[in-house]
Amino acid sequence: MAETRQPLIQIEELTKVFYTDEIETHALSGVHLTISKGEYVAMSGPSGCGKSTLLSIIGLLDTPTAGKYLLNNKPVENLDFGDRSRLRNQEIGFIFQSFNLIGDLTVYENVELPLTYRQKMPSADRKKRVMESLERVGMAHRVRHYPSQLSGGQQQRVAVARALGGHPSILLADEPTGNLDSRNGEAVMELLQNLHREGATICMVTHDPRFAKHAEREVHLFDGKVVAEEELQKLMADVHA
Amino acid sequence: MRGLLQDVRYALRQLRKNPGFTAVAVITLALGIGANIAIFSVIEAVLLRPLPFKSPDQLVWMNGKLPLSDEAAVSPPDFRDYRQDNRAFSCLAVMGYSAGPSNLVGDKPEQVLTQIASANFFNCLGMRPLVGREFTLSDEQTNLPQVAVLGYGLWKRDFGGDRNVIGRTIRIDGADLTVVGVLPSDLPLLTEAQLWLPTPMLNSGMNVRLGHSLKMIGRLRSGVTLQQSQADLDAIALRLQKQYPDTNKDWFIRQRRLREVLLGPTRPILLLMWGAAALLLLIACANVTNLLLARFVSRQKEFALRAALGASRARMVREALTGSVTLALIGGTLGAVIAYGTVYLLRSFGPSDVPRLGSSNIDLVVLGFNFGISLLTGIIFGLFPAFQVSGSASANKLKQAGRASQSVGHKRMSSALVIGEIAISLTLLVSAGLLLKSFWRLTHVSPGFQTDHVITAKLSLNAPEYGPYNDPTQRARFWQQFEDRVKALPGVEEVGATSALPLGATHYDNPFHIPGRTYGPSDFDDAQFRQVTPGYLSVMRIPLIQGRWIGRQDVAVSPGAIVVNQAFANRFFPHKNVLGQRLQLMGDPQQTREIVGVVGNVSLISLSEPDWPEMYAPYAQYAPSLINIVVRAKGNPINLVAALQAQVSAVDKTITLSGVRSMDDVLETSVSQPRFSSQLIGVFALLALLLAAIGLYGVVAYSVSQRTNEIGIRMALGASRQDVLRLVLRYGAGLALIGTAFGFGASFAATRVLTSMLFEVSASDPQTFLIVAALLMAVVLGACYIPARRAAKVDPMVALRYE
Ligand SMILES: Nc1ncnc2c1ncn2[C@@H]1O[C@H](COP(=O)(O)OP(=O)(O)O)[C@@H](O)[C@H]1O
Ligand SMILES: [Mg+2]
Repeated sequence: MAETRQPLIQIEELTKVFYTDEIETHALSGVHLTISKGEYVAMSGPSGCGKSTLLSIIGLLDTPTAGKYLLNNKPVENLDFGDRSRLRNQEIGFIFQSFNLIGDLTVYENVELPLTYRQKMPSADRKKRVMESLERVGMAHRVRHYPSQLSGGQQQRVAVARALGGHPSILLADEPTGNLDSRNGEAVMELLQNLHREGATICMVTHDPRFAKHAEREVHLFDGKVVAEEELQKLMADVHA
Repeated sequence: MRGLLQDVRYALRQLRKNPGFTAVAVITLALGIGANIAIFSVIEAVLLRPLPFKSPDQLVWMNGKLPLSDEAAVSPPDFRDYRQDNRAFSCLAVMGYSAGPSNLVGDKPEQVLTQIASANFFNCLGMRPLVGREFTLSDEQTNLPQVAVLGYGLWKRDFGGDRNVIGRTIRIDGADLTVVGVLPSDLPLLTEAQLWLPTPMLNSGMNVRLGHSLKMIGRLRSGVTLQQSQADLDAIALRLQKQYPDTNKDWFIRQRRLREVLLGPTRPILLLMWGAAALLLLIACANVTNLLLARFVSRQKEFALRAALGASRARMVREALTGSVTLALIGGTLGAVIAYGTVYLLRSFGPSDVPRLGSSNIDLVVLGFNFGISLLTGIIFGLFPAFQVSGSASANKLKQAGRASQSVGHKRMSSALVIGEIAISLTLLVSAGLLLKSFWRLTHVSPGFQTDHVITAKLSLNAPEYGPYNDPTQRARFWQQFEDRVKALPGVEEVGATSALPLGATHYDNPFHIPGRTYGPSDFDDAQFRQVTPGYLSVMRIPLIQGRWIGRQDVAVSPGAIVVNQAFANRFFPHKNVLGQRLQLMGDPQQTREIVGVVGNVSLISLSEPDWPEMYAPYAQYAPSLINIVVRAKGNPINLVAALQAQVSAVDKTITLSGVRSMDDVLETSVSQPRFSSQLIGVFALLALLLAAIGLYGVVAYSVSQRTNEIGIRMALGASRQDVLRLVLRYGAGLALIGTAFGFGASFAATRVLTSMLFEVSASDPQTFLIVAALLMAVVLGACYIPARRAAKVDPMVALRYE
């Protein structure tokens, strides 16, 4: 079935180097990765291996130092800031570890926020989308609440609704359960799984193997490279030795 | 005490640690405090310092009060009656209406300003002659002055400060006078006179009850109130009225404190400036409060720690206040330096008609005021932050203090402060705008004559009753010779003369009757009056409307002629042909005069006053001894000065020109007060705008720094740089708009006090309000643009970082 799917994200020989105070950090050194439409990919690896960096490049928050990145078959590695903003707004839905809801805005306004950055979207359409996504995450009854009046799990569901509202091509989640207790964490994972069943493409960073199992496919990152599962075990063993 | 010293040391260390914060706060405070000290030092010198006379509160200024005017002068016979009959005053004295130039012949001839004064005049003010004596009653018993008292300046300059000058003979306007005394100082508050002559009470001119020509002062006996002295004066006035019904009907004396007369007119403008300076300081305080609030947020952890260690709230408030007062005192010190420079500028460029402005300086009183205001400022702007931070510190203890953040109270407070700043600076800008527009209007009023290429100088052909020119015909002959010589000079287009310059300092009116009309006893019509030569009209380029102008044919022996202006024709002969009408002027050598022409109106007293009815008589028929020559040059009129003086000397080597000025300068001087006030308020308003812009910048920049994370999230969600720019600008513009709304309200109320200073501009002039609001919005939005740009550069990656 995977062969018949269309590739959504194609990454080749991707590198990212950070330069800080004359220190070069090779966060990514030659990553190859393809994510197809409708796929649910979990990304895991030890802390500092470059997961967030890769996710931010996939999410067009950052640009690679070198390498190729095709999004929907279009090269995006050299887009300028404005084009990346626009694409990010239309194609990417972010779910962050710390929810990142804006405290001064209500639940409704938080979900509406990305839509307000779109040109020419009538407010009636916006409203429809916002309510639709809040219903999908089961938070439609809390539209007037402020984030501080919600539990962590509820906040993360609102954040998911915000990511869904723009009808993105892919949902990117960076340790979405990292700030949640296990019960709330399970609930959010269930939500993602449901979304995947309904056809969403998801790429999630997690270091929790239980949650990684929810995904169709697991990608292991080690020291800025994608490695096979067995290789990872070996490498980890070396590190601990 | 030891604790306080420790607090101060700690505060200083804090300030040193944050040089950026300290610099901005100190400069802001210095501007606010400096402006206040500068204005205060002017107010202190002009208004608050006692008058330079003994027991000045006993001194009273007296005007004649008639149905038509309460600013009339007093006639010599009336004065003598009041002097003799009053019981309320320990002394009553007069001086001449103004100082006039006389020709003093010493080593070289020169013009000096002389004035007459009655016996005891100086003693009444509380001045004792430095050498010799002042005028006595017996000095008054003469037809022409026989003695003179030298002013201090003249004595120093012309007589080398020689104490043996007493008894020396000086020659003034052809008469020999004996010097009897020297004054210990000149009297700049009262007059420019350099030399004093006694009132010659036996002179026929000094025995006309309608000749209102003297300024009267009196010193109240101790314990006598103004009401009591008024009753005393009124009783005398009623008796004189009964005795001289033809001249003294409805004639009373109006009293005012001398201080009120001398200083009252400048009070509104000075208080206005002080108000502006105070508002500026308020804005500075608001700015520093905001800076402190932001700083204290970053020190919350430290305060929480102190609270945990047992510091009481009072202790923390004291410490915070010590910090703010220390800051204010540093600002105040720098402010004193700024004020020193400002006062120097005010002294040099302030209007010449503000008395004692030149003596303003930063003295001990001002420094004391400075210290007080700095202390107060420090407490005002330190109080709220101090309570805020100490309150939150003891409430939070250490628990939540780890993360510095802006509390709701802080946010509201700093928004409110910035809104207030914007409102105040709008008020100042509107005031400045109104004054500037009014000034602009004023300078675009056509004075009715052309000032360019005209030079003017004073010429004294002596006091009336003595010397070689005591006959008007002789004066006219002098003029004729002088005029012919000047006309022959290269570069001279036309030459003329007038007894009083328009927009100059002195003006004369002359009562008259229109033959055929009925008048009650001591009832007259009245109009401005000038004696002019034929050349005057074309030098000044005043248009001739009707009939003819004064010509060379109008000599002493030809029929009396007079020319009036349009305002005169409209006022006294409405809907009638004014030409051929006759006027009977009081004190005129001619029986009546025929109106032979009508000329355009000119601004006589100031550009802002309506046109006064005015009469012009031929100089040759009615030649006064003091004239102002006016010369229209082909080139720069200043180049003619030496040639003009040479021509005067050529006719009579004892006569000199004085008071040489261009007519442009005369015009300039007449608007020096409105120019000064509009410019000064303008500078204050611009400073206020600058501070308000800095204030809004600070608040917006602080908000941006607090919202970096939020902005990153928004960008991660697809906000473009423009979206973020707009977000921040909208926040700043929101504050600015609310501030502007409040500012409009405040301006409508505040500009009412300007009404009396405005010329042809309404205090709620919508154009000014709108332009000023647009300027304010543009500037404050410009100030917001800097942090907004910074916000737009936030790296959206911050959204992914979890701390
Ligand atoms: N903005 C940055 N500047 C410098 N180094 C960075 C930056 N972001 C990440 N790194 C470094 O790149 C490496 C990968 O980081 P990251 O992608 O955050 O790892 P992970 O998410 O897998 O824990 C780490 O060594 C990290 O210190
Ligand atoms: Mg990470």
